[in-house]
Amino acid sequence: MNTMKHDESAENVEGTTESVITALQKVITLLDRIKNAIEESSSKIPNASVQLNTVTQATELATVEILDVLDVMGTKIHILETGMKEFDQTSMTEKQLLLLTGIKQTLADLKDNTSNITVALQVQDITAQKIGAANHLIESVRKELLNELNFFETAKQKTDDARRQVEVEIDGPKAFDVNASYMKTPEHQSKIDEVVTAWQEKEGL
Amino acid sequence: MTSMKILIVDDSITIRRIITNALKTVGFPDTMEASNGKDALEKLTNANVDFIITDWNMPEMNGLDFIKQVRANPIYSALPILMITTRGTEHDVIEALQAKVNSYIVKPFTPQELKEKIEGILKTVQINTV
Repeated sequence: MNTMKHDESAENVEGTTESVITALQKVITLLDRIKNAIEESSSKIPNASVQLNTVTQATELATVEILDVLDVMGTKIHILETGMKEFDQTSMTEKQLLLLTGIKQTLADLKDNTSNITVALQVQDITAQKIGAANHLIESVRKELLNELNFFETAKQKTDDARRQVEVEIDGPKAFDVNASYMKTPEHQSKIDEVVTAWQEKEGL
Repeated sequence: MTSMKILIVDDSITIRRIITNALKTVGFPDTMEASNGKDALEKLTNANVDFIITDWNMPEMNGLDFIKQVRANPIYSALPILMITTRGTEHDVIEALQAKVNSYIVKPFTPQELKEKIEGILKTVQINTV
């Protein structure tokens, strides 16, 4: 009777051990898959960062080119406006005077338009700061993933390699305002002016 | 047109260019540029700068630290400084004022806003020095 019980127990232990081994093998496979997924994801992050930085560089280049053109336009408008002042209006017919007024108005409008374009182009800097903030977030995620990878002893060397690779490849803007916004209302600047005025009054400036 | 030399400090090439263009259209064509506070401090010692326009968020040395360093030098204690930044909370403005910035503009700005602020600062500086 006792021998039978002993055999049953031995069988149970053997069965349980096999189950544990099977479960462990599944866990090992799963951990291996997780490790590979983390490695793959963290290796892709530098490329994402580099691509985002490329976007910033490209928009910056294009914006400066537009600003060059606007600068030339501004100079030409100034030359025309100065030239207009040289016209002797006393000897002009009514039609010529009307025409001159029209041309002056058009030049003033063009000046306003170039000024408006200049204001709108500031969106490039604001976008660059947003991209910088996104890159910083991506970098934080990558660091977390690399920390997780450190738990896998066998992946240690790969982790170090990945870290070195990332340190070389990620080179984006390091200074940014995460709350940078293109939307500025006149009320916003007025409120700031009020703060400045109040401060200056308090300081006796 | 005035011969006043203005030092523009911003890490963004776009913004430096926009400020330069805007200053030119409102009568301040004499400008020089620096890409961060450290670079600006070097340029400040090598040129006769009459006015500073600086950003806040910059690598190497940010605008606030730059202003503090400038104000710590007695030679530049009265040098007019205008801050142009995306940071627009009341707390930010007060922090900049504590560092002794003369005025503050939140981006995006218009050339007219820039002109008004520069003229306003110059007027105050003149009154205080008379």
